[in-house]
Order: sequence, then C-alpha cells, then structure tokens
Amino acid sequence: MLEISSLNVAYGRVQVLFDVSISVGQGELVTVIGANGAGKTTLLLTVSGVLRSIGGEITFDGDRIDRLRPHEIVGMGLGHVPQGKELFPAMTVLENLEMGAHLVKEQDEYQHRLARAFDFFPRLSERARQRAGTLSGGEQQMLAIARALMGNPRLLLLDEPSAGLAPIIVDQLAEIILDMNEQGLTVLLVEQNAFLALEIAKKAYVMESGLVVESGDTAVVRKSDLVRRAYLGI
Amino acid sequence: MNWDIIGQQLWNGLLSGSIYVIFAAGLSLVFGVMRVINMAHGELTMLGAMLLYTVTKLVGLGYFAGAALVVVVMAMAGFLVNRVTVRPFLGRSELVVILSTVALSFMLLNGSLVVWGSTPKGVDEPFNEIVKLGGVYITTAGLLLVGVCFTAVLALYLMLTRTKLGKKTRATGQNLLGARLIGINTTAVYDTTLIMASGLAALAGVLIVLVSTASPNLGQPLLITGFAVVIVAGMGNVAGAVAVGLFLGVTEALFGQFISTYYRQGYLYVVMIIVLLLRPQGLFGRK
Ligand SMILES: Nc1ncnc2c1ncn2[C@@H]1O[C@H](COP(=O)(O)OP(=O)(O)OP(=O)(O)O)[C@@H](O)[C@H]1O
Ligand SMILES: [Mg+2]
Repeated sequence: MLEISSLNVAYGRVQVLFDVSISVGQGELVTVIGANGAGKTTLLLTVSGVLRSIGGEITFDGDRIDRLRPHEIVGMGLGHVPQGKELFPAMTVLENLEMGAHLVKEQDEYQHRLARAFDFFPRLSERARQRAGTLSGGEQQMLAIARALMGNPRLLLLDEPSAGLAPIIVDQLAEIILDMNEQGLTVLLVEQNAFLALEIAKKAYVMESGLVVESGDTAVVRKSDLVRRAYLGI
Repeated sequence: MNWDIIGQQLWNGLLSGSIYVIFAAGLSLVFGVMRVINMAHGELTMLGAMLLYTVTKLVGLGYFAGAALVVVVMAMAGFLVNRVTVRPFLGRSELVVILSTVALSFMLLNGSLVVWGSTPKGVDEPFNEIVKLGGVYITTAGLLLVGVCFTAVLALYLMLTRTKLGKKTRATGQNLLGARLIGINTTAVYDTTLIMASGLAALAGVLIVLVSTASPNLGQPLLITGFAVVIVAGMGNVAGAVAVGLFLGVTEALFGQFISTYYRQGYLYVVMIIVLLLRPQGLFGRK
C-alpha cells in the first residue's frame, strides 16, 4: 500500500534521511522506532507531502505521491496524526472533527463518521462543545486521532501518539490502535516507546541517525541485540 | 453642555468609525489567517476610491454600478497581491513579506499620483439629502455608508463562523500545519483571504467618497489608523476590531471637538501606546 524506496531528505544543506526504504502492506500495522532525532517525524512529513525529498520514491497504492501537495495526498486516503497534534485550539472539539471531514458533502456520511469517532473516543463526545486548546494532553491526542479518522483514511500515520501520556492512557490508546487496525485500517506507527510499538505491530523498522538499521517481523526484531540493548534495556 | 454638538460629533464619529471597522477587518483578517502585515492595505482602499472616480466621472457609470464593478475588480486583484507580493516570500523572515508589501504600497501610491495627480477628486453620491434629527444633521449618503459597512462586516462574520470555507479559513489561521495535514488546500485559503481583504479594502474606498473626497494620499493615514485599531483590539481578532474601530472613531471625534483638533491624530497613538503598555496582546487578544 505504501512503498518508500531509497528516500533522501534534507533540511537546507543538512541531509537527515539516507536511502530509507519502508514498505507497508494493505491492512498491516507497521512501526518505525528510533531515538530522538533519528528522522521519524521527517519521514512522515515527507510521506504526507509537507516536506520535499531530494531523492527516492514514495508510492501510495501504486501511484507516485512524492511530488504531490498535502491536500492531494490526503484526498487519496492518507491520514496523518502529527507529533505536535496541531489542533485548532480556538475551535471546539466538534468543529475540529468537522474540519477533519471537510471533504465530506453528504450529511449522512458525516454523521456516520462522527458516530464512529465518538465510538472510539467516548470522552470526546462529552467534551464536544469545549475548545480544543483547553483539553488535557491525553484528550488532545485522542482528538488528533479522531480528527484524522474523520477523513476516513485508508492509511493512518501516527507520530508518537504515546508521548507525554500516563501509562494507563497509553494502554487505552494501544487498544484503540489495535482495534482500528483490526477493522481494516492500515497503520504506520512511529514511536520512541519501543515496548508499546513492538507489542502491537507485526513489522518493525529501527532508525538511527536517518538510516534504517534493522527491520523485519517484530518477533525477530525484538530479539536482536541492537534493539534489546538500545530500546528495551534487557 | 451643548448636546447638539455632542450628538453631531457622535454621528461624525460613527461615520469615521464605520470606515475604520471595515478597513481594520480586512487588515486583521490577513494577519489572523496568514500572519502577514499587509502594508499595502491602505493603497487598496485608495485605489477603490480613485477607480470609482474614474469609472463614474470619466466612463459615466452611476455610483452603484461603478462601486460594484470596482469592488469586484479589486477583489480579483487580491489574488495577484497574494501571488506576486506575498506567496513568493512566505516561509522566509516576516520582515521580507512586510518589505514586499511596502514596495507594493509605494508603487501603487506613486503610480496613482502620476495617473490622477494629487488634487482631491469629488465623486457624486447617489443621493444626499440632509436630515435634521433633533439638533443633529445627518446625510442619507452617510446612512448608506454606515449601513453598508455593518452589512459587510456582518457578512464577513457569518462567512467565517457558519460556512465551510470560513471554518477552513479560521482553521488555517489557527494551525497551518494541522490544516495542511487534514487536506485543506491552504494555498487556496490564502488566495481567498486576500481576495476578501482586498474587496473589503476597496469597499471602504468606495464608501469614503460618500462623505469625503478621493485622493491618492488617503491610504497612508488610514493604514496608521487601521493599525491602531488592530493593535488595540489584538492582532488578528476581527470581532474585536469592530468594537475598537467604532470606539476610536467616536472618541476621536469627541476629542477633536472638545480637546484639540490639532492633536486629534495623536490621540490614536496615545490610546495605542497605553493599551500596549497595559495589555501587550491587545484588549481582546489571547496570549
Ligand atoms: N525544521 C528543521 N530544520 C532543520 N533541521 C531539522 C528540522 N526538523 C528536524 N531537523 C533535524 O532533523 C533530524 C531528524 O529530526 P526528526 O524530528 O525527524 O526526528 P525524530 O526521529 O522525529 O525525533 P523525536 O523522536 O525527537 O521526535 C534531527 O537531527 C533534527 O535536528
Ligand atoms: Mg519526531
């Protein structure tokens, strides 16, 4: 579904991704783990068209997307929950969700998506009239995911959804991500929290300083010396 | 206390306040959505007035037809303003964008002086009866000005809060990256923002001639006043700009009447400085 091959990305003259190749199949839940500054966020922002690559190829369902603009890529069925959440703080929870579905014309379809978002995140329906900027960190993360779901994506990019959340919320979130995946949503999950990521994903890539240094089934990756030492501390 | 004089100044203040409101609304819209300070906004208003003079006096259109034509043409010109002077410089230092709009402002001002000369031009109002209300003289052209200003600002408000385009515009202003990642075409949003702002600026221009004259020099002082309104209200706060625009228009007229005509302009600066000292984010601004 998503094929990233030999991707190179630079900020000005400083290159931060080097020949990164990642493949996400239809219905899979794939994770990319890596320490601070490894280039995970850069990778996702390049996939959604916010950043331009200087080399390599990205295809989404067989179509080249690496020269398209973000709204064109989103229109093809990509959802992106960014690291900073990037909500609309002065709008209500409901308005944020409405914006996530801005391409939807039919009222029925909109209501259907709204009901599904509230199904995944019942807390948000209680907070519907509250301004997004006043939500707690966990609620903001839920809203960011729900807003992306309102676009009814076929592929969802998640950038460190567990960052800064209490362990109990992280567990709930993991459940929800698994749930969405089981309902057919393809997920590319970026995480520093390797425990969480390796627990729920089927396939994993490990990035260091802009390079993919390890990849394969999570069961295998979890046992590699590198991952045990650097990420799991065992 | 002479209540007739106070009443007359309230009316005069309402006239200038209405212009401030509609002028500042456009200025504030561009800043709120794009974080761009458009130094050419005053010249867009000036062009509205001068073009109206040309199409009414030299081409022979009536006031309403001419005004409609000018506002539509100037709105479309807003697209060019974005593509030529703003968009190429976004993502660089904010100063670069400001300088580029300053350059546009100079070009429009000097070009207009060449085309029209600096003598003020009168434009015929569609009607201009004088009505005496108590001891206060009110013109029907002035009533038209006030009515159109408030209709336009109300329409802008409803558009921003009720329509999908308006909500996408506010969303883009609140978080550009967030807007892009949910697939809002933010380039199109920026285009329409400058189209609306330029149309509003020109509308201010065609309204000003109802109570005053058209001259290439009318844009600069208006820009200063517009900034005072926007800064006192809080940058990017369109609703706040309405309240502050009216307030400044009326108090400025009273100040000119009872305290000093000479320091009338200075009054706006003093208010601006006091507000900035006490509330740097403006009266209605959020940190
Ligand atoms: N806008 C930018 N300009 C220049 N360099 C940048 C920019 N954003 C990121 N970088 C650099 O690119 C590298 C990769 O950053 P990136 O944010 O992609 O890492 P990350 O893996 O997401 O890290 P984290 O886990 O902390 O979120 C880092 O060295 C960072 O300093
Ligand atoms: Mg990151």
